[in-house]
Amino acid sequence: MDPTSIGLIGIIALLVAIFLRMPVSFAMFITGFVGLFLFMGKAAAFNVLSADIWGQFASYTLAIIPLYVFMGEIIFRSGITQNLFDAAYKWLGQFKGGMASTTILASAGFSSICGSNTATAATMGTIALPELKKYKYDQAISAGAVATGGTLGILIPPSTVLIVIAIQTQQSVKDLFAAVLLPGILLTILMILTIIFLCQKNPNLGPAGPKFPLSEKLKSLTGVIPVFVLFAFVIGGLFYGLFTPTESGAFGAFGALIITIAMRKFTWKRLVDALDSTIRSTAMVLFLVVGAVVFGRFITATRLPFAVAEFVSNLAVPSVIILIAILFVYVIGGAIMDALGFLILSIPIFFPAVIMLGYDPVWFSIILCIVTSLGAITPPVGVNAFIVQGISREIPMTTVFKGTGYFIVTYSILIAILILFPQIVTFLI
Amino acid sequence: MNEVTELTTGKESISLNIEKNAAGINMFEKFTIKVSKFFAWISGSAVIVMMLLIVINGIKRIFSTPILGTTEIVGWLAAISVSFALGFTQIHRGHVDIDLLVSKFPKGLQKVLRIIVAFLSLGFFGIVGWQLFQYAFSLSANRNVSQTLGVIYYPFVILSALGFFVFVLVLLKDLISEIKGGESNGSN
Amino acid sequence: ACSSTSSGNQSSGNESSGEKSADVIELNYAFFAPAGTFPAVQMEKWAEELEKRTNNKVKVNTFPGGTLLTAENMYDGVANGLADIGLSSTTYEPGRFPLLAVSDMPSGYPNAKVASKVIADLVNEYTPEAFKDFKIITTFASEPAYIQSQQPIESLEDLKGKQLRISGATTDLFKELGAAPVGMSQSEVAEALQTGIVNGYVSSREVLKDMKYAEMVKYITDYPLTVNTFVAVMNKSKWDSLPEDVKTVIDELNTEMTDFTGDYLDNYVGEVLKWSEDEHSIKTVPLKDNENWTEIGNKLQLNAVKKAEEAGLPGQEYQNRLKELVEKYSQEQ
Ligand code: NA
Ligand code: NA
Repeated sequence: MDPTSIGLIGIIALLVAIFLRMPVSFAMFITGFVGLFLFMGKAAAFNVLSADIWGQFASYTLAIIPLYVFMGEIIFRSGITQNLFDAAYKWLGQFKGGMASTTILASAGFSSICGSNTATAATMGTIALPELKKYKYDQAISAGAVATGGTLGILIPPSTVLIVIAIQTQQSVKDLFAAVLLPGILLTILMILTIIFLCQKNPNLGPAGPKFPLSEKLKSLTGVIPVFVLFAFVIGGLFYGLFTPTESGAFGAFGALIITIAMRKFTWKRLVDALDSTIRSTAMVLFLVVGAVVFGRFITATRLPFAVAEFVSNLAVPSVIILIAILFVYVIGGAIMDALGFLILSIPIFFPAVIMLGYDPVWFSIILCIVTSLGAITPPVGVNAFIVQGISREIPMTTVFKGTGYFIVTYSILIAILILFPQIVTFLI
Repeated sequence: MNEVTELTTGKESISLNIEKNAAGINMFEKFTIKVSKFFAWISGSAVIVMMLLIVINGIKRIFSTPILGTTEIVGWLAAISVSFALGFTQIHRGHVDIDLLVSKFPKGLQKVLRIIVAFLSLGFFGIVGWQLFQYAFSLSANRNVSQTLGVIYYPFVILSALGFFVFVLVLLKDLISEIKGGESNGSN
Repeated sequence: ACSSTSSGNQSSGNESSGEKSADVIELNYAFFAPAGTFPAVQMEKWAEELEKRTNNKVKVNTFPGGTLLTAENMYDGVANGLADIGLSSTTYEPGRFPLLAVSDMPSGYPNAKVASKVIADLVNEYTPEAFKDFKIITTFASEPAYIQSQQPIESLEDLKGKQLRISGATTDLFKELGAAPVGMSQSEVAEALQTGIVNGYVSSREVLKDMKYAEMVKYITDYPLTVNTFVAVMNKSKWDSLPEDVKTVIDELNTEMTDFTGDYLDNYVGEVLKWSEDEHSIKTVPLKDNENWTEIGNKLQLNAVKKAEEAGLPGQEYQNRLKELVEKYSQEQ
């Protein structure tokens, strides 16, 4: 049998295992291992299980995940987030879908200090999901808003995915960060418009709350100040040059502790509870990431991604059709495996092809980043969707994907806009 | 404030449930839960130490020089915080699964699938733990040292392997209680 | 151990390319850094030459960017058959290659070409124990590392307390020179430079362009420091399974790739330096206290020699040979 078919069988085996309810991370680990075992031999398969897994676990860059989650957990346990959402509710709650829109905005703000979509989804999920539930939001909209809001993590700078693209294609990190700013803000606005549109059509999805007098609205803002100070410290510190992203996670968590102590909201029990949730979210997220690496090793060895890429770029049709076809391959790739892994595999093949077709490298990098983040919310393998479901177990997976489904439409609109008006990307560089 | 209490209570009720079952069933389950909780404590402490180390390093370098090898030490702490949380996470069913197809299957078949999944996971992660041990031995034999600090780091790999063994212990506990036909805590 | 390559071909023979016969030999070649970096350029060149010179009897699949094997796992991964060939830097595994640690220290290499030739000879003459179970495909080195910084560093005094990102086993050297070395993952260097968390870094100079660091530093200190050694190895049983004519081509490519990579990197660094000067006004500054740096470099090399001797290896003999070879190849220039 040729390697490509073996790769395809591997993907089918992964899906079967997932749908027979093997935990997703376990399924990626095990099918990846079995695939390597059968395809590359016993020694090769065992090798991935040791040095590779250790290398992923002992990664300074991935340490950003527990630190940011911990920061979110401390703020959440202290009840300060409550103030934030109360304030947001007083201002926006009177509109249909206001609380879900707040979730998107909060995710966008958080994304500007966090370069990872999974960390953003995990942190905002911890903060926003209980609130959305409390305000009786539809489960699908709630889960969809958190999972999709998380994808802003790599679409608002800093962004690990853009750093990877910049290094792989020898472009300027600074340029890519500048270029993604407008599309990131545009996507944030489009997501909020999506929520407003859906809730106008069906007010049960995100019920309008009571209207508050202006005095009460203004008063609610005082409760937001600590959070604002913390975010300003973290965002400001990062952009002003006090610390790197991983460090901003540590300083953020530390700052959050200081604030809760200063506000007399600190108790040892809350600290322990925050750590309890932090380590479970971290183990869940990192197990998914590392599982995707193991499965990715197998898929890479079969050269399936390369075969698909070659097929697409060999088609003799107009360039925009090829572009859309390539984007479609990325959507499929992001659907069936870890989107970042697929990105890393495919850039050397697709990137030169697309530049040859006459597209701007910076523009295509941003489009790739957008499609990669889309991969985190598409079924069946959507990392952000899994994270939301992992945090809020009472929401069924199908409901989460129903919720992200609305925003897949939003994403498609954004991509269409950027194909029609590429200046939105190239304007700031 | 209400929300915080509500969420916390929810979590506690899960662990209380498990503990009741454990006390009623046997020593092995009790032991497994104890050990994974102990490991969870170390995992949480690793997160705190990681945070403090980075913060102290960030402040120290303004006034003098940074702490050498911060990146390496944080990496090792991250590895410990993840691997030591694996068993605890499994006790809480924290690893995401997709039940949309299986929930439509007959109860007996669901149980069989759960046993198969637990069995495969048990075997696989046992192998991972073992491989990590082997890897630690080869690092030791090759005299591998870390890049910046130039110190041996295989002991951290051994600790990571221990984390996997506790994880395997929890999977074994799951398998035994499934086979025994005890109350299923496989559903959410 | 690697069943894939022989069984994998039967059905790929009837693809549109047509030129493949049923017994094309496929080789998987892994490297940890992205395509476009000089070792990856070398890998592609080797693949191209091998395919050409064997009339496409061999097909090489390249896996740059750590997609198949990462730096930590490269040589073990090849031993276990996860890839047939792996390219990694011995400099990243201090302790495992005590002799190579000696030649990685400042040794007066004028450029990458000389460093590559010298170290390739040394690897052939003093093959590291760790490579006994591999077939060595080629050896080459980076150009010497230079300090690239935001403030000019013209003396040990200037260097004092400067926070510099280092890679490889160079901590002791920079501590001795008085800098504050910082270990940092590659992915954070750009941000750390931009925000001033580090004042500069130490590396061969192609990164000014490849990693876009030219946007973030202003000065290069004109003093060659350590080199990184790269060795590509093949799985031994894979090697044994190859037909004689293929083995011959691979052997003839060994030295050719050493020369090719050295030449390529030196030319490329020349272009990069010109580009950095024209586009980003990067200045190269000379040292005022050359001798002090050389003295410290020698001391650290002696330490490495002692360590090798302690490990039961001919450290002193190796250092003597190293000096001979540097002189020989520098004169040939
Ligand atoms: Na971001
Ligand atoms: Na997906």
